[in-house]
Order: sequence, then C-alpha cells, then structure tokens
Amino acid sequence: MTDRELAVTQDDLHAYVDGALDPAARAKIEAYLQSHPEEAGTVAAYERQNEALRALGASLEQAVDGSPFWLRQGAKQRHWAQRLLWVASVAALLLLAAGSGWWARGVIGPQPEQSELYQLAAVAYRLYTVQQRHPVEVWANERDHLQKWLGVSLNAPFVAPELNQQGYDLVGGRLLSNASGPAALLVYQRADSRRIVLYVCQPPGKGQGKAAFEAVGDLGTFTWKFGPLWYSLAGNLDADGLKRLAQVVNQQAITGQILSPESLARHH
Amino acid sequence: MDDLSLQLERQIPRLRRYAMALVGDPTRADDLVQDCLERAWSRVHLFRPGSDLRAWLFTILHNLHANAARRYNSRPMEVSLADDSHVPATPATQGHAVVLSELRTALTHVPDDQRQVLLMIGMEQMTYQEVAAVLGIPIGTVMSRLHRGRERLRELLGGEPGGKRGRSE
Repeated sequence: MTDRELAVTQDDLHAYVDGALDPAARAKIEAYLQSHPEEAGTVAAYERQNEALRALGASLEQAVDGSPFWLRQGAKQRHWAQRLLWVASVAALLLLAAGSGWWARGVIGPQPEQSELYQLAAVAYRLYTVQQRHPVEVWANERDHLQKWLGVSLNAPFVAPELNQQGYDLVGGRLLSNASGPAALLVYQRADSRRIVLYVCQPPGKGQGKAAFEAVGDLGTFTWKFGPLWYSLAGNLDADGLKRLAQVVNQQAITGQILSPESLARHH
Repeated sequence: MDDLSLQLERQIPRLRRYAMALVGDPTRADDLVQDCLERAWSRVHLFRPGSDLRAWLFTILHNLHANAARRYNSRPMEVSLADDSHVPATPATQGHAVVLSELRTALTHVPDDQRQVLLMIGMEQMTYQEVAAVLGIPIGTVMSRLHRGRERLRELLGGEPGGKRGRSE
C-alpha cells in the first residue's frame, strides 16, 4: 500500500457515496477502489441503499401528496390508545360531575366546545347570509382594514382567505362575540349568489380541535383548529366540498399567517 | 414573501414523507408534521428571512420528535411501518416494490438516531453540515451514526455485514 492509499478513511468512503467530495478527492477514491474489491463492494452496497431510500422517498411523497393533510385526522379514527384516554377522561369527568352535581344541571356533555362552535357558525350563516343590505360590516373593498381590524380583535395574525379559484368572492366580514370572546365572520359569495361563511374565534375552552363535519338540517359545517384559532365553515355543501374549501383556507392560514409582514410585526 | 410562502408550501410534502419514514405510522407522522407547523407558526418571529426554511422546519420537527420519543419512553417505532396497508401500492415493478417494503421493514430495526441520519442523507439528500445543524450535533457524530446506520441496514437487507473495517487502513 502506498501512503496515498493509507489516507483513505471510512468517512471518505461515505463522502464518496454521498457525492460530498471534490473531483480530486473523488478520483483518489476511485483509484483506491480499483485495487480494493472489498471496499468497492461496501461502497456499492451503500450506493444501493441511497438509491433505495430515494425510491422510498418518491413513493412516500406520492402517497402523501394525494391525501388531504390538515383535515385527515378528524375523518380518521384515532389510535385506540388515544380513544381509551378520551374514554378515561370522560369517565373521570362524569365521576367528578356526579360528585358535584354538575351532571344533574346538564353542564357536562361530550365535546361541548366543538358542538358549540359549529352551532355558532350555523346560526351566523342563517342570520347573515340572507341579509341583502347589511350582510357584513366591512366590505371586501377594504380588505386590508378588515384583516387588520379582525386580527387585532382576535389578538392573532389574521388573513381573509382568497377563495376565488374555488368560485367564491369575499363579500366582507364582521366582528361578533361568543361566550369565550371575540369572533370574526367572513361572508363569501358565488356568481350564482350562493353564500358560505367562515367563522373564526379563539379557543372556546379546552378541546382537541379535531376536524369534524356536522350537518345541521340542509346546512353543512366543517370545524377545525389551526394555530391559536378555531375555524368553522358553513354552507350548503357536502362534507367533501367543505373539506376542500377548508383545505384551501388552511393552506393560506399556514403560508399567509406564518409569513405575512403583519404577523411578524405583531409578534414583536 | 411570496417566495417564502411557496417555499413553505413546497416543504409540506417533504416533511410528511420524512416524518412517515421516521415514525412509520401515518397518523403519528401527520400529527408530528401538524405540531411542527403549529410550532413554526408560534415561533415565526424567530425565523430569519433568507435562512434555510427546510432546515428550520426539520429542526423543529426533530425537537418535537425527541420530546415525543421521551414521552413514549423510547419505544421503538411502531410495527405498522412494516404493514403495507397504509401505503398505496407503488406503480413500480413488483420487484421494486418488494425491495421498498423490505427497506421499510428494515428501517424499523435501525435505531432512531441512526435512522434520522440515514433518511436525511439518503432520502432527503441533505449535506452532512445540514444534518449536523438540524440535529445540533458535531459532524463527526453525524458520520459515525451514518456509518453504523448503513452497516446495520446492510446486515438487515441481507448483505454481508461489514463493520470490521477501522477508520483507516
């Protein structure tokens, strides 16, 4: 062995496999592998691993790409362990409730926060979408002002989502209140005058914020949580239609809220 | 800002596939990514515009994963990674698919710290420096985890185990 060959280390072989060497170092390893079949076999095995891992990545990416992300959890069954925990905590609450008499007063029910939220959205839908002159307080032509105003009121970065590509134009919005504080209502309208509303508020209380579809008569609602806010969409749509819209809203909540200059400023 | 928005959106599928390969179970993987994005959301003031968004998100994801792993008391990854029912059949040839399912099974038997390095380098094609920064460890540690991970994987995939080799000859 020459001195040059002695300088080839295990790290060099990995760096060779991962393309992390400059051309000179690469040539040196190639020469070394010519005369060292065992190491050449190791390198080939590592290269096959990288190829297989890239193929696995492509296959997984394809698998995740087709499946809705944010809203999948509510539709899916939770792990049995989580369900068991939930059952246990409900049981504990019931015991507490029985002891203190809450149960008799009907305070405790399953997931009160979530059911409260979709009902609030449904009520807001019925109340405001039929209004011709005053469906909103601030119209879409003052969008910046609307977003700022509602964001300050909710004490969270707030972006009125664009749903134009889905066929809905923003009509405007208004500030509402519920038992837990301020709430924002945005009204959207299609070319055929059909409307939907997006109801946004702070967490009404403790809750998982699992995405959930609820039908209230002919009205559909889809409710979920993202970041510090809860969202509920209401409209004459089925679960899939609302989910698709919710997905768009969430994408914009992620990209718009995280990266908007307003949100950066407000965090300081 | 638009560039950053696009970048972030582009990272989501990558984060998801990485999380899926890391923890195996699709539900847990998506929980992890969702937590990661929510954490990112709440810490946006810490993100320096112009720095590497992917590295930042991966760092957050790993911190959350490490916390979760401690909570689960270092339980090994769930067997469902080996269970193909969650992953749609790949449109590749059958031989290829068999290799992938073997690989996924084998990955479940690679220790967590080595699997992270293997996936970030092999699947995500990050540089050693990027991996070191994401995990907050020296490059030497990245290299030794990479080596042990690759040797372990080679053993599991039926290749002859190496490992006799020293740092140099």
